[in-house]
Amino acid sequence: MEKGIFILDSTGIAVVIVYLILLIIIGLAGRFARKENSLDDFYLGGRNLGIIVLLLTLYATQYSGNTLFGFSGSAYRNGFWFLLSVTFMMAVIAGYLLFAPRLYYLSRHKRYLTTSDFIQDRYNFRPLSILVSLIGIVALCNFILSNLKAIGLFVESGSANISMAQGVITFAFIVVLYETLGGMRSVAWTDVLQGLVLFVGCLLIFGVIIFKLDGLHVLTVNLREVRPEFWNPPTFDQKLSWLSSILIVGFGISLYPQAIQRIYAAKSKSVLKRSLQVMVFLPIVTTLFMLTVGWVGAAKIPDLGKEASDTITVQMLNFIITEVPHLQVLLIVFVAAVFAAIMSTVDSSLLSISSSITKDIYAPLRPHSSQAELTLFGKLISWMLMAAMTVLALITQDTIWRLIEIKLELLIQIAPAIFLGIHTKKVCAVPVFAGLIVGTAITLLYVIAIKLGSDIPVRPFGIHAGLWGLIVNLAIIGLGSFLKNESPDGEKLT
Amino acid sequence: MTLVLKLFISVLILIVITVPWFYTAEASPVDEGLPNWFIYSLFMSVVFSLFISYAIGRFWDQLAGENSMDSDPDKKD
Repeated sequence: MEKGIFILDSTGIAVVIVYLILLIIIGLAGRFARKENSLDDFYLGGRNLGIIVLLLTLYATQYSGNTLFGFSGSAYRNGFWFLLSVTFMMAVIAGYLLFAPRLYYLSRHKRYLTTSDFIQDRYNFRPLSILVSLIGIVALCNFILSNLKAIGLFVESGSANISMAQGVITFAFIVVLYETLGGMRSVAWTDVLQGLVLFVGCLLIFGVIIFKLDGLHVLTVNLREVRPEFWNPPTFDQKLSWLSSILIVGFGISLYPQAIQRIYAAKSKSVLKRSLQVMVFLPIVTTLFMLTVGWVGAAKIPDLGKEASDTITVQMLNFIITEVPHLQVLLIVFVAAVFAAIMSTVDSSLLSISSSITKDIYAPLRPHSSQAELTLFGKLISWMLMAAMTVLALITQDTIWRLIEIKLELLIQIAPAIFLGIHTKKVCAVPVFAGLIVGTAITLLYVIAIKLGSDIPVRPFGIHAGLWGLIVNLAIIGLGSFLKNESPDGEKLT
Repeated sequence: MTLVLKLFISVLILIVITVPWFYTAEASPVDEGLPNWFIYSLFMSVVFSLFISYAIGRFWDQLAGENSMDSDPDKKD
């Protein structure tokens, strides 16, 4: 690594250590606040999250290392075209609008713990609920992977002598430690701190870039000299891809199992409503600010390769403290924000996977297990899973953005089962199951073909493979349900 | 048409119009500042978010179906 000033010098590292210790203390507090040793208490915090905790845990969970690295990296590579990420983060809340009100209402009466609990209750078809659970697990493993990779890249490029492996292992250990201490309560409470730090960190780096680096001038003048192609309107294929990305990512993220569990965990309907009404505006002060980092970075630090461009955020931090050294103390807050974003996402995903494996797969096999035994099993799963993800994060080569896309292309396949299942009785289990299998298979085969070096476009006709899979998925559900015609009348389920 | 379908179509239309379909290289001369198509798309995204926030506040109870005839969560098909 070339010599220079690094954001993670001895002061930066000291701040990070204090931050990590704080997280463990909060995790312990969550453990002591436990009311009972049950799955409900461990995985949903007793369904008692208030407005501040719910809003910040939704925020910290939805915005991750991908936002801070993947988005800015993609903005660096693709230019203003990647503004689409602001819209798709808003579309996530549109997704919630379409299913959260009814799902929350049902979850209060039926005590759902996981996404699959709803699926099983609605369709009463175990293979379908297990498949939904497995898709969620695979997607979330990918999420953990991309975030661990992001934290490793950040630590390695932001310091002079810490390796990616050291970074990944340390943070993975801390996350799994506080997650297994207090479950959702610990995770949500740490998310409050992490959400605040993330929000302030994004404001800070944006403010520094605009006011100290004359960001507006850089964006409108310098950037045009370096990357004039950024000014070209998107081509028709790019516009199709723009639309496809909003649909895939927006609706895909709204189906994150950990986000659905936060819907279940809301203290009341009004708490959930208010949180989502605020959430819809947060892309403007989070996503857009991080895109600005990427665009200004493209003018200030041109010529980064594809993989190196995923480190543009940290390169910009190093650049800023080289140009304006007295800002280092302020920028350390952003360093904490990076860790906050990544850790809050990893802990939520880990908790969600653990709950899915325990409740949806293990518990039906061991129906006489006590709540304490199931909770213990879930904790063991968390440790084993985190160990596996740590190893994978150190060997995978995909860019962060590509990892996000693959995950969401899979996750979007469960959208019909949830969206249609919530609002109409006319769809039935077998067609939904068949559609899900075929849609997922199309997506997976396509991704695998590209991985194996096939000479096919990543997005056929500008549209993600996952969206093609979804179209086939929907067609099978429509045709199958029409033919089966089990429930010709009625609107709402259960 | 049910409320959820109306909302779904509204959301889709709003998403579609956030994409700068009508801006082409010929029709968008490069002047000063940020590209026109960028400003358009950002503005439409803000409109989109305002609509979603309003819809959550206005239609939540109806979407939850709490007061409708078939809202009983224990009622089986």
